[in-house]
Amino acid sequence: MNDAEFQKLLEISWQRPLRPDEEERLQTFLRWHPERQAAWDEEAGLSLLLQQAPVAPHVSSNFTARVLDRVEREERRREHPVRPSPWRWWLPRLAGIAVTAALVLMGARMLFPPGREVASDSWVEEVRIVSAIADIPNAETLRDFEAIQLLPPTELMDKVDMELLAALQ
Amino acid sequence: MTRTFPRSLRASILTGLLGLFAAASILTGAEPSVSMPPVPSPLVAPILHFRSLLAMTPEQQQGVLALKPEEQRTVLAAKLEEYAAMPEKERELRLRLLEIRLYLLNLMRMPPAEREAVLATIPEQDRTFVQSRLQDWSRLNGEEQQQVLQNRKSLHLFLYRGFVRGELDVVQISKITPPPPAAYRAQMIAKWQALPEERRQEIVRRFGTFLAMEAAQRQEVLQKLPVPDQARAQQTMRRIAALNPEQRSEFLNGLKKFADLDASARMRFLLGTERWSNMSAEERSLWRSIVVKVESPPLPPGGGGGE
Repeated sequence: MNDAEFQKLLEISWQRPLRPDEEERLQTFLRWHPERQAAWDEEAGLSLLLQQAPVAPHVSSNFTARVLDRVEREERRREHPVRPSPWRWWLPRLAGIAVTAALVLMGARMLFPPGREVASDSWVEEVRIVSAIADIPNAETLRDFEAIQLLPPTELMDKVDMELLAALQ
Repeated sequence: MTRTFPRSLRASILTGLLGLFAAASILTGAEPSVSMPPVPSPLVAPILHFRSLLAMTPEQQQGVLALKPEEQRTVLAAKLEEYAAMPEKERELRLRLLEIRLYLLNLMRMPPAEREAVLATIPEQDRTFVQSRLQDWSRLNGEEQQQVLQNRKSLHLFLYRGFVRGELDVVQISKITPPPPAAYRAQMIAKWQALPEERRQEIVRRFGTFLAMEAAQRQEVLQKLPVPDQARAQQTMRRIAALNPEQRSEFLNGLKKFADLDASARMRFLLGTERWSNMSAEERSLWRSIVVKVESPPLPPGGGGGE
């Protein structure tokens, strides 16, 4: 077996496992040409890995065309670089300014809340009314409102003449 | 402690009086009629006796009083004079208050099964009120009933609760002379009552929030008030500061209800607060529990309180 035949067996091994007679011829050749052993081992390992690899997903029919088109465009871009839009320069800076302004406003709002004056004023009238209503003797008794409300009137109680009742019994 | 008739004597008087009236009815051939005067209840025999004394001439009164011990004779003679000089409505009110007391005290001590027959002898105008108080009584447990009977003030309050609100409305209520409310408070209450209900609720809620604010924030609001209002607000806050959150909530609810009252009910309430403050802690506690019991919805049959 010569080197050409070795090459042919190598190509066959890419497509399918060698048959026993082919395998025997190969081993004979390698015994006489041990310098080609490394080449065969490399090819055989690669073939084995490819056989074990999962089936690749289907790609679109124009996959190659799209790849080539993209490569072309990339080459053109490198040859004629596009001048960046002014917005590309301004936009990040404007965003930075806006964030800074928002932070400043938030800080100012915390230090000098704009609604505080109004809120404070709205409490004033309510506190005035409630305090005036609560300005009664024994105001703390208001929490017993129901119990007090159901007390019989004092002037009625005064009319229960226990002295007369005692004299009659 | 109030004296009552022994049960056997009570039953005898009742039977005797009912028998007497029944016999009189048969002898005269009179048919029972709604126009007939009510049969006097034996439970109020002492008051009936006093009524009959009042109807006598001075000579007849002296003849009856002469049979009584001197101390009793002296008091009764003075009372006869006092009651004779009273306007009729006032006299009738005082005697009815005593009758109601006697009805209730006797009925409250009776087994419930015996009450119906006795209730039937009570004049219609008083019967509804007495029945209502008896229902209240049945909602108290045994311990509460004992506490009421043992405390004269609590008993008094229990017996006459709701008297003025019923059909027996009294004539003297118009003579209430409470301290006049401060003009400013009246003005603020008028302002309050002109507000829609939602706004009133909101103000009370917001006042609760105001009380919970930090001192510096409250001070900021107070500084904007005129000086007299500042003092009032600070006084209110001092009063409320001593209350726990639950009591504070009760206070604010009471405040709203007070502000919602009409002028006469408000005056009556102010008189009530004075009396409330003069009650002992035990009396107040007992009254609170009575109010909770009698004002809560009735229990389903079989779930009633002790007798």
